Amino acid sequence: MALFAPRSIMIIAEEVARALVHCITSNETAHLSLPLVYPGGSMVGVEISKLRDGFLVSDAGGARREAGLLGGERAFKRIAPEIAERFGVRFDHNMIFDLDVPENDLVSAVIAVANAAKTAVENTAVHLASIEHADYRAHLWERLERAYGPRALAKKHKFKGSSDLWEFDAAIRLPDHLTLFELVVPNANAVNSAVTKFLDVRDLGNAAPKRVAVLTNIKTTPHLPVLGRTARILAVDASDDDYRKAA
Amino acid sequence: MAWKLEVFDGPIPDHWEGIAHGKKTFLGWPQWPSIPPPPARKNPTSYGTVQTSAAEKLELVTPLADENEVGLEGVRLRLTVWAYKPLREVTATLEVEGGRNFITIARVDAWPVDPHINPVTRRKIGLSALPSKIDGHHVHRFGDNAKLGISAFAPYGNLPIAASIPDALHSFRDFLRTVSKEFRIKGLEQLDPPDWQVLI
Repeated sequence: MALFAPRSIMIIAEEVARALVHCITSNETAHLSLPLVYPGGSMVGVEISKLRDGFLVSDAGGARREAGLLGGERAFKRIAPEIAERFGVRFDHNMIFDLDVPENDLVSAVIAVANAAKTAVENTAVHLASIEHADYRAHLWERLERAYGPRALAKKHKFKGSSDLWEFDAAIRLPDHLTLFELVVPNANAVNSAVTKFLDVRDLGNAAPKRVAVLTNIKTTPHLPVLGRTARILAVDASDDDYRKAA
Repeated sequence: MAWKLEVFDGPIPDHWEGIAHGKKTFLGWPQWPSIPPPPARKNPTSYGTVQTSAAEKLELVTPLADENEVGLEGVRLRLTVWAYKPLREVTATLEVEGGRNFITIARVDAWPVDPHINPVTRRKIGLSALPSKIDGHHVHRFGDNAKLGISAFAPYGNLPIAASIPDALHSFRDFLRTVSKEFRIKGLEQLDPPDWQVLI
């Protein structure tokens, strides 16, 4: 017979649950570190402060600080108000917060502020990457113009799919058909966005134009087989000949 | 056309390792900016008018030079502190120019309020000795993060791998000594601390 009985899954799970949230209190303020992480690995922190009436729940400026460490503080200040609104909280120039929170609403307020803070920093990181997307787009336009001539090229072309109106990075209009081009950087959000557009266009059936996903890095692009079912794949640095065949 | 995006594609630029591990000095005598005055008191419970001077930051940025004090083009040190919270979440970043912005290639976080979580992928790249969670001072070293490839330096990566700092840090000067050792910047510990204020 074993001297020590193995610990039950419940005990282990309770220990894990306790470790998921970290709490420090001082005076009338408590700081919670929650099981969400910013890019870079820091847990998302939320402060609860006791006010005369209710509580102030805020990120204490943590999200803006994290965005600043990415070099994206200005972008964060543009992005954060909309994200805060989506989560039902507010943003001033420093903090994401909810004010006059009654005690029985603290859990939902903490969750809202923490998720808004994390999402705002993540969207800032994606925005910083998409600034460079603009460089790729200029390159794509140059390559398409070289292959098909300036009159065939439409930049930032809007096209109505089966359900919605979408903007594509470029389109080439040849005498008998149209081809839509969309740049895809190697992250899941970019692939999902491109697949959504391409699927909606494909749903037009025989009237659907050709579709080309222009990949900035084929090796590291996720969900490539899914993308390949909705559009032809072309590497952004493909040869002029490949560009000419694409449309 | 200039090709910009390779900075987060392909291999890590060779010169980054030289910058991270080479001996460096800093140029001039950088000064902290002055602390912005607290806002005039408003009714703190009016919705949407919360006072936020507690979340004001101060940053000191200084260009770096090699050990012979020849300036390193596009290499800088940034120190970030809270204006009204002394010795709380004090960060140093070693940054190189890349694309349209500066890219952080190493970071020291002292007195963090929130723990750092190392990604599970560390186990696959020979860094399984690093803890999954660090609750205290830590350093995001260039060499550790370089094992993840260039994506670790992209904005959405932001140096996800960190190691504990074993030294006890009691003062801003202790922090500067650690940064000086980690980033190999001579004389850094002589910088003045910011003129921290405490909100009453």
